[in-house]
Amino acid sequence: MPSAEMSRPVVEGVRFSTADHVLEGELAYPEDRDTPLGAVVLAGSHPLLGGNMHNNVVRGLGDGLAERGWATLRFNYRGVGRSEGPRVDVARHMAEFWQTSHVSGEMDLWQDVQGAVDFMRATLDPSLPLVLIGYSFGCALLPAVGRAANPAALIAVAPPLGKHDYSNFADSRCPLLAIVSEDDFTLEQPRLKAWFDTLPEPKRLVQKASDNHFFRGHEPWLVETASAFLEEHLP
Amino acid sequence: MARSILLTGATGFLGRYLLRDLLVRGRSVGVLIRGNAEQSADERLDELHDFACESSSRTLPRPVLLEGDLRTPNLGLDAAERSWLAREADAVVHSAAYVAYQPTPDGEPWETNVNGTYRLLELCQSLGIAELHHLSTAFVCGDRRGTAFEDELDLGDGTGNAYEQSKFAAEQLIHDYSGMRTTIYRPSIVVGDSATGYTSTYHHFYRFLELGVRLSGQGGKKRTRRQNLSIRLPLTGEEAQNIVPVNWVSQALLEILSQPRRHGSTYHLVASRSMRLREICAILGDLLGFEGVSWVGSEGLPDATALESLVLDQFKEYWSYLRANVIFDRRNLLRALPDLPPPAFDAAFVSRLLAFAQRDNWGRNRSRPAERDGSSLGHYLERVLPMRMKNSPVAEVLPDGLIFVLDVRGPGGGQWSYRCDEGSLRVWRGRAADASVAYRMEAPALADVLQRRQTAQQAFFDGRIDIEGDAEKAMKLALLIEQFLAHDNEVSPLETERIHAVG
Repeated sequence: MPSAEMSRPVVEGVRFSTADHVLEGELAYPEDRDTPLGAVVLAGSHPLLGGNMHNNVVRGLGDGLAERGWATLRFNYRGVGRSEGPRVDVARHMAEFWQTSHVSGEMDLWQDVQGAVDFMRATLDPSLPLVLIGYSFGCALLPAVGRAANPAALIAVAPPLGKHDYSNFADSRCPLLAIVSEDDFTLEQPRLKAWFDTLPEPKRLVQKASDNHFFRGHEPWLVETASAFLEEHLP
Repeated sequence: MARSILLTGATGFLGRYLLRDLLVRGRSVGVLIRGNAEQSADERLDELHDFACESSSRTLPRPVLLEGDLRTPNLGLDAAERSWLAREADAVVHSAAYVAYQPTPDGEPWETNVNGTYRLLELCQSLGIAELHHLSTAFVCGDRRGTAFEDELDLGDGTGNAYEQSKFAAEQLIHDYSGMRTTIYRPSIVVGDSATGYTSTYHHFYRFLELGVRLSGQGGKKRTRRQNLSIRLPLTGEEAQNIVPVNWVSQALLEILSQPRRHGSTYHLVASRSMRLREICAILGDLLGFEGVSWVGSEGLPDATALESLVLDQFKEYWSYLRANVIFDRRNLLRALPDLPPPAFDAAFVSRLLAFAQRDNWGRNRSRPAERDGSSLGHYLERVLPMRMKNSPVAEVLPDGLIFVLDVRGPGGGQWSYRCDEGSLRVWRGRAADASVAYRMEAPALADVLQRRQTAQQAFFDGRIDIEGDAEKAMKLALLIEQFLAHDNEVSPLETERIHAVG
């Protein structure tokens, strides 16, 4: 793996199709590199909790890794921003969401991540390594995509372990990096340890107090941590 | 950790500086304000808060409003306000005063300055507030000649004007009242801000300044040839005038307030050097372009011309000050504040005072409070938002019982608490202690959210809104607010458009 170089990213607005919808996204890539180091797809947090492609973590990692030579895609889930799909129906969804932090059908959003992966495969040289990065709720969607997409690495930023099923990460066959904020309101240390113990090697857990669940002001650190992990583990 | 301070007289000239400077120093402040014919107490506080933020170029928290009046029992405070004071306040800065040089039919200035002070002392004692910082005046010395000492209270022959007599009586009252640790501050003649020239009142020195402008006929602009006024004044010109800028008085008081070992004394907040009347007249003559003022001694002017009579009539109210010839002892002040000398009263300072007064048209064309924009942020948050929420589909999913706070910094800001209550929002001013969630932001960030230039969640991710308390509930509630705004905007786009963009 060549050492990552800093280069200014180009950010292009793109649209791509999933099985059911056309979604909008932003493709970021280095301006002065013919071939990127690989493709990164970013799955953001829950669409009802600010999960969109302008979120600071998603945007920070997308632009930051593009500066370091990666082509990255962040996107809006169905129904968010200019992505097609049903909008939030307040009366139907909000009472349920307030009580449970879930809405019915939310796990189907893995298909949106799959659409983003397909777009990257079609746009870039398909032999380039693929990295899937999830933030918060987006982490829970990665295993479903990972089974078919054969990623070179998974990165889970602030996985809310108590809220979804993360047991299927144990089946992943690629290096995995988990980044957790020590003061995250969703964090349960015993659960984190138990989950991390089930994961196959190679794996790494990085913890630091980073503005609760939100990493505001810590985006460069996220990029640095992710980039160092990828440099170390990708051939 | 310093507790809160109760400030009276915040709407006064010096009071607004005290409020600003307390907030700048990070002190929590409760202000006693009464509504008047033109403005509610809330609106008056809005104006003071705006002044504090704008003049300090800082985004300052809004003080706690205690709506009351020194002229009513218990200062007109309700049980909740008294309970807040008992819980939060440990000191009072008493700068409220009624300035009238002649007695009024309704008993002023004694009713406010003496009886009001007594009511304040009684209230403080009942609430356990034991530290009093009392604003008096250096002229409690009345018509004394020679040196007026900080540690004495002596009205000379007792011939001071009604205001001086009432302030003298208030000091006596405080002196005899046991159970309070009292610090007394006696400023001399207070004029505008030495840095900006700002003033909110045009009494005393300003009357002479404006008269000078009129007589010179130049609207304050310099002329190449001086106007000869040919005016005789029944004064020697040697009379000493002690003048201090409002910002220094405020700073000096708060500096002493911050040094508990200096409490319990009396301080003359006065200039190190008094100006002779002829010196002041010379400065004005240079600035305004006049000459020809002569000093004929203090024996009167029996053959006054029409112009001289007019001038003397203007001076009538202030005659005792003009004739005063007292030196103010400053030993306590110098011990407490050796490094904070008052700014010099010189031509540059007077020219700043003059420039501000002329820009402000001597206070005559200041916009009336009633003309303030009725669609302010406060109005929207207190009236429009709860009313419109009731008709929103979001109302039915509001989590019953949840209390949240909007803590908005900067001009137009304040603290508002909301309780979700069976599909409606109950709102009150101040910060609920049992809120689950508090959103802290500057006013422009909130204006952007309300006008849907940015979602609340995005403003949070961009660091423009901070959250205290339950982060998950805060994010969910932010979504509800966004949904409400989106729907409300569809129903009545104008309503949100009308919220003025604060900042």
